[in-house]
Amino acid sequence: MADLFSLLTTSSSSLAAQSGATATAGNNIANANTPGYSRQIANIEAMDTAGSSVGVFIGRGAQLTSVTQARDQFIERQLPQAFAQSGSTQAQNKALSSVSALDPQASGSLQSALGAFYSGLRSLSQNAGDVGLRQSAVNATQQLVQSFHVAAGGIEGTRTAIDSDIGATVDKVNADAQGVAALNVQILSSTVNGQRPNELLDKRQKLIDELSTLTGATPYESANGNISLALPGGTTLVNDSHAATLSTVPDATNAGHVSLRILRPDGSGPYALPSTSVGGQLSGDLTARDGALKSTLDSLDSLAFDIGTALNTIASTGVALDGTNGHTLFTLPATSTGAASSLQVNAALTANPSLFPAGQTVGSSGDNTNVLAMMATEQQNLSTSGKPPPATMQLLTATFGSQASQAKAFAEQDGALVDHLGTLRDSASGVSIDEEMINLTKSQRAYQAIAKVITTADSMLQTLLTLKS
Amino acid sequence: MRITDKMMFERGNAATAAARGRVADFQNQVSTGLRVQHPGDDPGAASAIVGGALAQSRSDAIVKTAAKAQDDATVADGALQGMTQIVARAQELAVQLSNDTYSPSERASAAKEVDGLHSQMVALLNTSVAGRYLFGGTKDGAPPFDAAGNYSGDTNTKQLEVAPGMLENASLRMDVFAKGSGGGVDILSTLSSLSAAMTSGSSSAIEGMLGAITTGTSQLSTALSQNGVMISSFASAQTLGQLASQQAQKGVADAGDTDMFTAASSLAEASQALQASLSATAQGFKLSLLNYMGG
Repeated sequence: MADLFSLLTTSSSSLAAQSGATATAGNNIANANTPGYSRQIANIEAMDTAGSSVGVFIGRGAQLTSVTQARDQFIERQLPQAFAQSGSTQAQNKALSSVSALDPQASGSLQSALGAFYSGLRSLSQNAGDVGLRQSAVNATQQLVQSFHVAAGGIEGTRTAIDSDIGATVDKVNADAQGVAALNVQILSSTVNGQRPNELLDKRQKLIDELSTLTGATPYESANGNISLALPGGTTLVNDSHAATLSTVPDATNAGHVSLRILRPDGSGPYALPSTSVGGQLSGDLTARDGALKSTLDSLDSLAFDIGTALNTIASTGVALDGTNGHTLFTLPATSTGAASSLQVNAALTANPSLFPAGQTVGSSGDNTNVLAMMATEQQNLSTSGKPPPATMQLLTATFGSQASQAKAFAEQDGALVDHLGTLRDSASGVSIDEEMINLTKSQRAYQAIAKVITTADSMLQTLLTLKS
Repeated sequence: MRITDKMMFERGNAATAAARGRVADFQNQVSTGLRVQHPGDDPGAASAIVGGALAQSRSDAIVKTAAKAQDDATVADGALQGMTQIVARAQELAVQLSNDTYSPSERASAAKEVDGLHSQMVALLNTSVAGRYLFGGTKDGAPPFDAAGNYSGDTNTKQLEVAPGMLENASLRMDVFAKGSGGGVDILSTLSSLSAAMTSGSSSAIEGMLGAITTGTSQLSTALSQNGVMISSFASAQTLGQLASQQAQKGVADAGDTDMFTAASSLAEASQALQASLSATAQGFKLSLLNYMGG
């Protein structure tokens, strides 16, 4: 009798185990497309045997011991670095490919304005006394200045847009870091007898992946199972249940562009966070803004300043139609810093083109010697680049192009690595509906069979009970 | 490798997106005709386009300038031809009237013709194009010669660029060729003197002018020759400039333009690949155990 009753008890726990397996498969199917979800495995084990009245050990059925996540730690450990690298190169590629200021075939490009400026001088050289040609030369000078403004403005605009991007990224980083810290607390308090809340683990992992992409942070596990995060420079971003807070401040030494600050998890700070201490998207944004874009802008400033200085030096020695001298072509800043944006045409020339210093002899309206000297600057080396203006323009375009091309290639390469590792992670942790349907059927069949055992045991009990009557 | 449903969907997404991206790239190349739009597309080609565009602009400007300079030199040539004829007529009159058989009235009449020649010479020396006087050096805003033959131009020679960095004279020193500055004869003064000699009726005085007239003819001949060199030089500058411009334009096109045959064939290829990708993705989605499990 006792064995038949224990058979009912055993079947009950076995039914619960199969029911749990069915529920796990159902949960997996429901989350097949949930981002960050790792498939769960219902671990069913045979219950310990016990002695019976017939003197042999008979099994006591099955029990659901745990529901665990399918994760491949080998792959998981490679992902943060890949996310960080890809985040960085993607950000650089996005920034550099968005710059159209140096597009070689765009209408109104800087090189076409430079060409038009020298063409204007050539036309004037043929008839230096012609006021109309002087007006054209002044117009071409204005066009050149305008093109410098547009090119520099385009690059500076991209740098400013990156500032906004950094601001938005910082907000997201702070929210994610707070999320990881809060989940650490939740996960620790929800863990009972080693059973961990898988959905919370998934949520935390998703935030960690995002933080790796945004900041290059690397996760490390504490003894209590909490995940902390460290930035590439070693600064702690999340320490157990406490998260750092990033912020941005305008940097006066970098034309007001934002720099990063950090309020550490222990509440100290805020301290300056150098660009070398972050990775991921933030690093990519800062590298593009203060690297390729800044150096291109500097080269543009030098080009504007050097051309302007060379032409002004010649212009100031020339004479205008009215015989006055000392008229420069451009109003220039004292140094090359910001020259491409602040360069202006001498307002006196704009107001009165006959002041264009075309010659060197007073009273000789057809004297074009100063125009010829200005034209010669097209072939003369500039002080910063050591090359003539056209070659400097070519070098500037090629250098920026190489940086943009390299960023694109690295972004594709790093993106492919992330895709590859993501595929491997998905292979280990993703849900296969075919597989889950089979698991579902398997647990359904087992459930049906166990139900049959209960029916059989019940029938046997009925038989015993009818013996007495 | 274990294949999951998410992998299949994501692969489908990635594969079709990549195939569509390639189709869009080639469509853009075919529709714009441009292979290089951003410096990052091909840094070397972008640099070549910039260099080529600047070289083309420079050559085009040189061609235009040289064409105008040639026009000026052609006008100057006509004026110099006229001056040569004037001096030739003066010489003819001098030879003719140095003969004692001519009467004072005939000589006075000849003197008047020489005075007329003087005026014509001054007019030719004040030849202008659109208000710009060709024979005053770089002082071209006012007539360089007054009625008496005094020169008020300067002693500069205007130069123009005929090739990048190469200059060619674009004006004649008429203070030298007409006024004899630096050792020649003053043709205008010679004409005045000839007129005076004819008026005075002195055969020997008239005959004495022949040497100066011959030198003047030689000066004008040299001027014509130099002007011819200028015309030829500016014509060459245009020819070479046009060639350089075409070459630069070809360089820009080679570097940055789409090879239509290649792009069109690549577009067709990419379209096929997209079709294949869409078909393979759709086929992959059809295969599911769900389709074989009865309800």
